[in-house]
This record gives sequence, structure tokens and C-alpha cells, in this order.
Amino acid sequence: MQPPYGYAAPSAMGAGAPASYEFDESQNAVIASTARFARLWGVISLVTGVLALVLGVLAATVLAAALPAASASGTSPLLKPTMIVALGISMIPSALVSIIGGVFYLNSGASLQNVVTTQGNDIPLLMDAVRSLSRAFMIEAIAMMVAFVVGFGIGIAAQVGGH
Amino acid sequence: MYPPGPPQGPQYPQNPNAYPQPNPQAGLYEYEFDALQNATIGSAALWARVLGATLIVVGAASLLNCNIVTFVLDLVLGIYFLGGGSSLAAVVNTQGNDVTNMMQALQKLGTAFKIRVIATLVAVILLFLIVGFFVLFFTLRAG
Repeated sequence: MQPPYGYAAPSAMGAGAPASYEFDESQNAVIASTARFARLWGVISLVTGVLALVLGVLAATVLAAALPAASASGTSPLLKPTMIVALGISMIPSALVSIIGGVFYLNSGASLQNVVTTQGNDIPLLMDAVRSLSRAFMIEAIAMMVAFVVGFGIGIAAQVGGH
Repeated sequence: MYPPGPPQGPQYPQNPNAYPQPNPQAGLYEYEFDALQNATIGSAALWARVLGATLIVVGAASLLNCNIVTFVLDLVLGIYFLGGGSSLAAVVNTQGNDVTNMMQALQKLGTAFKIRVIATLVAVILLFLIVGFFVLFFTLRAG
């Protein structure tokens, strides 16, 4: 007999002892939707992170090496190599944050999806998902605060330097 | 038969809260997370609220650059993350509605992810359109 969802399923050990909790269909629908968008956001975060990392490394190494020659020949007098290097280096930390956050979002999405598709381990899988989400939120929040403070500091320094 | 009745104390002396508890409002038995699980959920609640608050502050700062789109997007996302964090905190701080509160939290966080995904896709499409427009413009001008 198929046990009903939304309740603790009885254990095979007997005595009516609840071994695990199974989410019902409406709860599974909510979890599946969250899983889908967590994974989508994870993929987007991962892809943008990898792209930003590649661009950052390219800008900091290849472009910076190529620009002095171009500037000397007069083809790109407006581009300053130091600016390109700074831009490239500044992209690398945010790219790494994006990649790590993306991995955690993907993990949480996979765990949430497993809650829906498997039976018998709903609560441990949900806890895995919550743990991954917590780490992703922590990384993102700290990175955002650091970027905000650094950006604000650079903005103020530029204002002061301009006057 | 299902659903099973509430567990009897002597069977679970070490962890009595990690089993279905009576929900007086619904007359049903709803799962109650144990102390270890509550610690994990509490951590997620804290960081979801920190992220929500940070998004709102960063969004408000973007108004200094007259960036209304970023402000609105960050404000909405921040509100959803704060809401998700509050629902997760309610899982920890209340009894009898843990699963209901958890579902509300997942729904709010899921909506935040959905908004982010849609906003990113719209931004990428706009970027391609703008780049395509400039490429077309300069190609026609050169020709």
C-alpha cells in the first residue's frame, strides 16, 4: 500500500514508529519550482562567472601585454594598459564568487529536486538544500558588501581626487 | 493505517522534537524539525535576511547614479529574500507549523530566483539587440 504524503511514513521497524517524512503533492510542486529556478540561477551564475574569469585573465595578461605596442604605434591612444589590467584584475574576484555561488545554487537545486523525485529521505535532502542555500547566501552577501564598500571608497576617492 | 498517531515519548527519548507534532489549527500532525536541523535553518534564515538587506541598500545606492531599473530590481529581490528569511526564522521560532513555514520560505526564495533568472535573460536579450543594432548601423554606414 502506498503511504499518503504529507505525513510521517511508518517505519519497517514496526510499532508505528515514523521513519521519515514525505512531502505531499502540493508541497512537492513548490519544492520542484524552487529547485528548477535555483538550478537555472546556478547555471547562469556559473556561466557568467566563467566568462568573467576568462575575460578578466585575458584583460590582465594578453591585452595588457598587447596594448603598449599598440599605443606606441598610435593605433589606440585612448586605451591605457594600467586601466585594462586594473579592470581585468577587479573582474577576477567577482567571477570566483559567481562560480562558487553558482555551484552552491546548483547543489541546492539538485537536492531539492531529489526531495521531489525520491522517497524516504525528504528531510535530510531538504536539509542539504538549505545548507547549500545558506552558504550561497552567505558568500553572495559578503561579496556584495565588500564590493559595495570598495566601490563606495573608490567613488569617494575619485571625487576627492577630482577637486 | 495512515497517518500514524503522535509518537510516544519513550520510543524517542533523545530527539522527541524531530517527529510529527500536533497542529492544533489543522487537527493534523506536522513535522517538527529538531535542534540540529533548526540550527541549519536558522543559519539560512540569517543569511537570507542579510542578503535581502544588502540588496536593498545596494539598490538604494544605485539611485545615486539615477539607475532606477537596478533600484527596483534589487528592492523587489531584497523584499523576497527578507520574506524568505523571515519564514525560515519562523520555522525555528514557532512550533506546529514548521512544514507550512518552510514551504512559504521556499516559495518566496523560488520567486526571488525566478525574478533573477528572468531579469538576466531580459538583460542578455537586450544586450544582443543593442550589439546587433550597432553592428548593423556601422555595417550600413560603412557600406
